[in-house]
Amino acid sequence: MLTRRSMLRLAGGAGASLLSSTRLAKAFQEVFQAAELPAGMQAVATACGVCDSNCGVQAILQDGVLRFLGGLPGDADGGGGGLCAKGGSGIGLVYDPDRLKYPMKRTNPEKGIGVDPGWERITWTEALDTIAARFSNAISQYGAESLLVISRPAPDLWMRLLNALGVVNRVDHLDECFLTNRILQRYCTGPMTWAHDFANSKFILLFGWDLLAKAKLVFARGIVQAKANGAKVVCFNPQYSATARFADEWYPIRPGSDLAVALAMIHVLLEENLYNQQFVANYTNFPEYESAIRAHFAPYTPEWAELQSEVPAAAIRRLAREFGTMGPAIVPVHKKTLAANYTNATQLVHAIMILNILAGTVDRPGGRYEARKIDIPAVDAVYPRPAYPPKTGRRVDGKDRLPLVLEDGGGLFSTLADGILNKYPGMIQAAFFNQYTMLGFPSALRITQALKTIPFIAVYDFLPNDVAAMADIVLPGTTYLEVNDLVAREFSAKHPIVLARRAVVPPMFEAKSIGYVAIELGKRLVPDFFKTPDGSWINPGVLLDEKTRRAGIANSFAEFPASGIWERPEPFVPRTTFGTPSGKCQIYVPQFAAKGYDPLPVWKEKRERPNAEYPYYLLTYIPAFHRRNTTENNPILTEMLPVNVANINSALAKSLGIGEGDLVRLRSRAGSITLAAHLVETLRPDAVLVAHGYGQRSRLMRVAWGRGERDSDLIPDQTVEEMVAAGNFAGAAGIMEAVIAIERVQQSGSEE
Amino acid sequence: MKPKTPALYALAGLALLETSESQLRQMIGEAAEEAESADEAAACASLLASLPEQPGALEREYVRLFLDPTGTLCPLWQSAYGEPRQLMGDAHFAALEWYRRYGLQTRHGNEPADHAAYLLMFYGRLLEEEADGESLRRFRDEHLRWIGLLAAKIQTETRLDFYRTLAGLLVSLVEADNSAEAGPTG
Repeated sequence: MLTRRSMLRLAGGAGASLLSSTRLAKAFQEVFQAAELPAGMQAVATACGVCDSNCGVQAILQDGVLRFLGGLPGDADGGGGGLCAKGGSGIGLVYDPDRLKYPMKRTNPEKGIGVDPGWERITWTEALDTIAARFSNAISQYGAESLLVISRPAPDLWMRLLNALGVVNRVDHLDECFLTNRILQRYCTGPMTWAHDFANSKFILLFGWDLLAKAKLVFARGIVQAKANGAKVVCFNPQYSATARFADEWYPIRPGSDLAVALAMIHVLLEENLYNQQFVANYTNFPEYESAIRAHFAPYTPEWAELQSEVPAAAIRRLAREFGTMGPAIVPVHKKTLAANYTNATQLVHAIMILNILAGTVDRPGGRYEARKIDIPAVDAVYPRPAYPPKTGRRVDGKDRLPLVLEDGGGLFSTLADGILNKYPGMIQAAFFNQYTMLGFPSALRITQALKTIPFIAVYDFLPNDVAAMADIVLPGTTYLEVNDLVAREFSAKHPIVLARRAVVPPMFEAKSIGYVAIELGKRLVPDFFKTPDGSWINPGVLLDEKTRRAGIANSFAEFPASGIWERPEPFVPRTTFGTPSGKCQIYVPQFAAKGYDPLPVWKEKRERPNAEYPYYLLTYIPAFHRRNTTENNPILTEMLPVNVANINSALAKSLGIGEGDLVRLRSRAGSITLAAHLVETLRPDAVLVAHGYGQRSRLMRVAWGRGERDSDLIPDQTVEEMVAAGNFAGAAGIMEAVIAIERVQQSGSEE
Repeated sequence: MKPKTPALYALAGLALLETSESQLRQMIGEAAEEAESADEAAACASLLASLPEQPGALEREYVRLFLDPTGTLCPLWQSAYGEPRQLMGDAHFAALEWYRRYGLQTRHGNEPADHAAYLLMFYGRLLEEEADGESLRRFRDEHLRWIGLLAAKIQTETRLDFYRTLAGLLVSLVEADNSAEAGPTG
């Protein structure tokens, strides 16, 4: 039994050391100190950051350690007091044993999967000095075009750094997923008209978006509420998805032919004048272009569409009539709209915009609307800056061949490998990856080859991804539970709603925020852009306080309401002018015509179509419990689907002699993968369905490593010339586009 | 097996914490000079003799074994061996509770308290303070048994004699724990 005397000595300082060796005693004292009072249990309101829905979160802490994440009571417009599986398991991100802990540098110049990088732990100062020196050398010797940044534009401090450096080659997954949608919104309904008022819809028409099984809780709640309110839900999807089961009608449409159905529905609405006459007359450019519009859609009859889509003409005609007459109707579009990511998506998204315009529900109850937000000042408003250098130089992704993409400011994921390897070999001298992995690219094999040609790569991330294995410097990043920020809700905000994203726990190990990285690199590379008017360096905490104050929320971030939610209740006033070039909703887009593009959507097949060598469609999906390339190392979520499989219609499997569990090789013109077959009835017999997010390479993340295969190994990337030739002028990435052959390679249970 | 001295646990902990070969050489050297038992002196000598001469070799091996950004081979935290495989799990809280019971806490609040080095050092201190046999047994059961798994992983994965020697020391400490019910002899 310890005595009181010895307990005190245990807790004592250096003078009380009892160990025989003063050296060992010193080591002990470097680890331990006298205990303070434990913090006990604590509840903190914050905002989820797994996706962009920004659902409210109640974090429960025990002695400063996260123990539970739940929905935030009172968050009626977000998660409704709940969280999805991804959000609820966020603790697994913070406390993942594999997360990056300290800055590292590579000592082995040879790069490749399976090659020991010879990592050495270094200080943040050495890491930042090294990155700054390499960037500086690249710019001075080869120009700003020699830098490649794979990163979201946020936060504003980070974007200030990139703009100050004159970076022209930046791309992120929002471009891959939302670019086409963004461009079509800009010209058809106005930027950011991407919130969906499902709850007040009476007719919801879904082209491939499996709303219930993936994407956002806020949308899933909305569609459930709509159904409870009597709405009709119609689903086109080659797979009998969760949403298909929930829908009133489901059509197993031929993959990639959704455009034909959309065109035919517009045909019926126009032919029978079933569109919203008042809205169309007052708020669209239909009157100006009516004859051209009617003539354009005249050939797209339901009978024609049936030939393309295998959806009965009578059903298309009936659904169009219901769409035009049942009340507020909506056709949502989102990156997870399977069809909206094929290479004919520029046309499809345009057609979807037109359906929403004809329904008269743009920025109206029951339709797609522009989120009502308050102005949270960006860093430029708080701390004015010098003028940015002009953006000159070649675009490695070729986006300068697509003027609308260039205008958007985004980039192209799917042409990047071609640009690095073929168009501009040797141009990229340094790259910075901010939380991206090769899994997110079409043809991961090609992008891996491309990365090998880049002399210097820095990676900032909280998890060790496959790009980290190729990196020269690795920086440990924070998770959303370790940083402070203000987040304005965008997917469900009929009045302004702002949430406080709070650092509910301190950053683990030596993790630091990307804002910190921006400021520290800025100090080294473009110091004039990171000073305040009084000459001191920008402090992110002071900046956040100032943003909070100027937004009219509170005097400082610390004074943000403890509830975690700030709202400015105000009535939803529908817009009478729209953020398009003409101020009206544009069915016919004259700006497209002026650039030589189709001003109205025309029928185009998607790029990859079954043929003698590759007779089947590949379909991919992201499981409901995973966030693309973020949660795959979470052991709890991984239990739900430990490995991905090849889902094959049982009739097709039988015809090919494939049984349940047999190993099958799926082969496309891009590559091949081998998976176990899973026989299903819930899929068209000409398609194979594979889950995305599996197949981590090398010794990568310890849970994810060795589980399944990469779907992207089957998906060919693109050249910008192919995009131009296909009329894909809004840059649809085609990240789910492939046709495949199937071969049985091993019978289940055998050792062939 | 003969019970081990408190200093040996602290020495093993130190070797699992320090990432610099030169620092480690100096620290173990100092500990060797102050060794109060033949066991301590022998352990220090073995560790010193196995330190690599090649500059940077130990630093890289430490990162490769314990911190590798493309997958830690030998996690140093007890919670990483539990279910779910996650830091800051029950073992972290249990360790904190032990430390607090004796008026201590770790200095690095953003790092898990169930680091193998912390646990070994703390156990060394308990031994030195002649904690009762029941407390020692409970701490061993709760927090030291997994270190046998860690030692086995190190033995399998390491490319350096130093970490093989350290793994051997860890095994001897865990086995001594298992056979010793009467507390240390110092």
